[in-house]
Amino acid sequence: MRAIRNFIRKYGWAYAFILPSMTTFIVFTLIPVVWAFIISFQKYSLVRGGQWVDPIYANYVTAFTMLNGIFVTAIRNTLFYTVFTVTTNILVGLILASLIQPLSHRWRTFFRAAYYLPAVTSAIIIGMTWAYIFNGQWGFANYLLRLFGFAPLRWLSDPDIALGSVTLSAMLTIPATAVVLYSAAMNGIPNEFYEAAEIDGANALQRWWYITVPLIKSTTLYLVVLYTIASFEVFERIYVMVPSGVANSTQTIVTQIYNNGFKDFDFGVASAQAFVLFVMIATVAVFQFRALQSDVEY
Amino acid sequence: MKRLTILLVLLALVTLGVLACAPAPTPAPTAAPPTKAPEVKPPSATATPTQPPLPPRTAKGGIRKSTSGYKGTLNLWVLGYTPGNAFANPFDNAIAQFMADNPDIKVEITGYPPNDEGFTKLTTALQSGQGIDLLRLPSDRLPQYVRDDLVEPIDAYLTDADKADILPNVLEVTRLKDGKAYAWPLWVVPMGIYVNKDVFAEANVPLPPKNWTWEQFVDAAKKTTFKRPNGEQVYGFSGFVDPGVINTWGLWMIEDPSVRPIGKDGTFGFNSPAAYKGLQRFADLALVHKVTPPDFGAQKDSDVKGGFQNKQFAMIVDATGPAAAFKGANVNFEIYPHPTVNGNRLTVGAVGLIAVAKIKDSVKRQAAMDLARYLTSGEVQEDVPPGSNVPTGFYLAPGARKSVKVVDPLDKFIPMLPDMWVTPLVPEWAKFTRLFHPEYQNILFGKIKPEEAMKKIAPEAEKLLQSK
Amino acid sequence: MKKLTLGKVLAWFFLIFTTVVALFPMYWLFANAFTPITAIPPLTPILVPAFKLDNFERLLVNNKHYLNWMINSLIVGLAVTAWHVFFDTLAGYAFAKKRFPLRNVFFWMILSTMMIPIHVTFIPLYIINRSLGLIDTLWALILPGTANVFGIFLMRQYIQTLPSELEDAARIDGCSELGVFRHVIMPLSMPAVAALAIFTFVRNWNDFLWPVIALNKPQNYTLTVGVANMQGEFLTDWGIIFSGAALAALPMIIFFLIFQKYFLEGVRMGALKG
Repeated sequence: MRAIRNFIRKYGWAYAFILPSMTTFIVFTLIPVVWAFIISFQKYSLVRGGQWVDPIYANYVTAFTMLNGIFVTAIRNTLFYTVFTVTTNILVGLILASLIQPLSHRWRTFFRAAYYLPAVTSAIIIGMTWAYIFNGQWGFANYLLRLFGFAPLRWLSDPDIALGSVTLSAMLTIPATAVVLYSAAMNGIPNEFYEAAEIDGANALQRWWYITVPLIKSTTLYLVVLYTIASFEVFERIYVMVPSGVANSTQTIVTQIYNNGFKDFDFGVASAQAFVLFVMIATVAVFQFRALQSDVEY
Repeated sequence: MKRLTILLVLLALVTLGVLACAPAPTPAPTAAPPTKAPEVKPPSATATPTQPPLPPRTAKGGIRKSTSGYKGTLNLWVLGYTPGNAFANPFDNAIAQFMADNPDIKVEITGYPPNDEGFTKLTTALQSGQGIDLLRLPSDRLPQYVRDDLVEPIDAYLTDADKADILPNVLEVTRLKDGKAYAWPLWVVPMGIYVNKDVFAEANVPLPPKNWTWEQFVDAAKKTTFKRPNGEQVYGFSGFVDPGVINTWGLWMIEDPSVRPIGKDGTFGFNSPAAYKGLQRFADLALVHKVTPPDFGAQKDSDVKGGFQNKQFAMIVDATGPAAAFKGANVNFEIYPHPTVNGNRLTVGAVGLIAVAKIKDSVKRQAAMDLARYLTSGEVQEDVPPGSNVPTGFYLAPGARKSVKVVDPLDKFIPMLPDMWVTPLVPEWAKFTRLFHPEYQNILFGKIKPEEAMKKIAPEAEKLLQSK
Repeated sequence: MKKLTLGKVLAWFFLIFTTVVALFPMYWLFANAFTPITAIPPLTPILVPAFKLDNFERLLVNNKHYLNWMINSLIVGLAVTAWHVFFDTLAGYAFAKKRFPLRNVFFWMILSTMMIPIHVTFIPLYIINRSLGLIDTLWALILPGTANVFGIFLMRQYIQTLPSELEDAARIDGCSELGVFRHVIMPLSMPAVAALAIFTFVRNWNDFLWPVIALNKPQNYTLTVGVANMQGEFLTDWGIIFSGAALAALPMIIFFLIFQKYFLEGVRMGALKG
């Protein structure tokens, strides 16, 4: 009574302030996550509700064995895409940020804006544009090949290279976030470090390798995690560039979740696959954290 | 900073205002509702022809007038419908006639494309139980909806006139559970070979005979694969390959009558030497004779149809519906049956149906059934006869009722009907096609031999095809 | 003047090259959109636009839903952004400056879900929205859109850096809690709020996978979903497809060019502070 009124007087506002956000969070994020986990052990029908499957982990088994192991292929494809995309993005981002660092403020702003511009358009539109670039008959890519006397390639319809083409389009997308973040991190390195090194006789390249790169390690860590997660979740590019699937060579984890969940309405299996994705992401994040941990200062 | 604050606050207020005043924020209805008369819908890429006036929309009674007394909206989903295209105009016109007789009922049409993606949208809508009351769909999609209890049996709504008029073996196709009929048969859709006479003329190749053999077909395709002086490449043949359709299947299943998905004793019928031979023979069009475009097997539907219309392909295999579109676009074409192989004749296809979703309100259900009956009747062909924006009238394929008369070029498909194979009615058909499709593509790309591919998927295929 | 070394030349070359590569796809899209194409594109790629609006005219005449799509995207974007701007700042303030029981528990809950891919929630969200009858309406996009916790995180980090003396001063002057929020916290957090607003709006505008699952009828699509669908519908008219995509990208590009500074600030803020 008295205690309750005191409690409300002391903490009431705080709870009121977080109430709306916490409510939507619980209703639309927390509960769904828990429920999805439950569904991954059930056979769920929209009409009849969920029933536990037997054995309880059957959905997970089905997820990996169905349609000739398409999910395993999908995981493989996703890993291929991720490795190439993330590596390129980090390297290109680092190099570009380093190159624009010594330039004037004006130039730096210009380049950062130029690189960031494509990032505000939807992945769908970017995908559509690249699909057109790789178009067999009218695409720019084949035009260049023909110009230099090479035979045109079936960029998006040959199972052996379709995934490579999609990956290539991702590699050729300049990683704006990396450039911006690396730029900011580099700005934070005190000039004295460089001056001291210069006095000690280090050249530009040595200064870069021994001072800049280690001091921006935390940024690198963050970017690797960010880009890896984004690559694991690739979907729009695939959906737009290779809708026909090209003999499963371009299936990815999320296309499988989408197919099973919203084409076949097999919620149990789709949920299982979603959680496999989650485990993969969590593993990668923990791993990368440990690997790059050494002397990260926050 | 201050300006930004003001801007943000304004935005927030505007939004809150909009949300407060408007009901659930679905946007304004689309322009040009079908009741406007006479509608002027410009087709996709060509200039707008002036439309002759439609038959007078006076109340006629008969099947057209619904006896339900329903007042409200019915949502009709139509395969291949895009406002203004050849699949749309017949339905728009028919619906206009229906609404003339039933002023209290508003019918809204939603289209979905004839591919895997489109069927997904249809399934999602049905599963969500929202925004769909009737659906025009092909027979191979019906079994999964019946299994999941998403459509209404029609037996209670069949009148004696209906029972006498509908072709019995077509109605049988819809009897999937407990002997009940689960959809109104609309029309029968075989695949035919479309031949572009202009391309043949350009290549100086005489048209092949109608009772052509496979060799004659390949020969024609080879002769019509050439490069134009301006560098444009013309290909002899193409077809749409997608898990959602079986357009190209007839051309290799024709190898032997035993080549069918469900073989003897329930084994996987495509896992046989005859099937391997047929598949290889078909794939050789791309691999050996090189009469197909480079991305054959991965093309979009619009690429195939558009390519035929734009004179890039001399021949394509497709269903009856595009005939109306091509006729409307003044394409100079002819319809051929499949070329014979070893003396075998075959075509593949499905039965077009109109099904009614599960509707709780019995008055609304009656209204939906009445609309379905009207749209599958002979009367609707009279109400929507061939005209300039409906080249073949309402029916885009030979009808499922004795009372329906179809016109050129659809009547050219009628001789194929006796040899038509319809997809089996299996609930897991969609999953099976998704299992088969990547292997099929690889065969067409020359990455795998048919024998290896079919053996690989045989165990799972059998399980799916035997599902109940 | 610094001398022109080989290194510098290479560096500049690389910079210009990457800029071209970055901007080429967008440029080519717009070049094609502004050059009349009725059927198939020409064999020699169009590199210089003709600056004609033919494609756009045909787009708006033939595609009756296009403007609906834009309006839908606008409604969803504004609604979700308005929500986040206000309530995320509120919650961020509470987590940053106030002490209350279970504060850390709640915050840890939010933090831990940030790593979970959103795809995990799609199926239950679909079921929930379906039983509420919200599938195929914009509410199915707006309501789940309010649940994104990135904003809470961002605002908390930012507000933590604000000195507490200002709040205390306001309270001493007799301000209520809401007043403190309105008069002290909100104005001081403007940089973060601006960044949050921009990011939220752009993210919602470009969102694809959930809208494509939650929306059934073409007239209810948002712009991104609609444009993706156009490829299947307009059989022979590539000009419409290009102009449709270009027109869909345009608002965000203009938005970015105006608010550039806040975009880039926001990227920094969201990332480096934790």
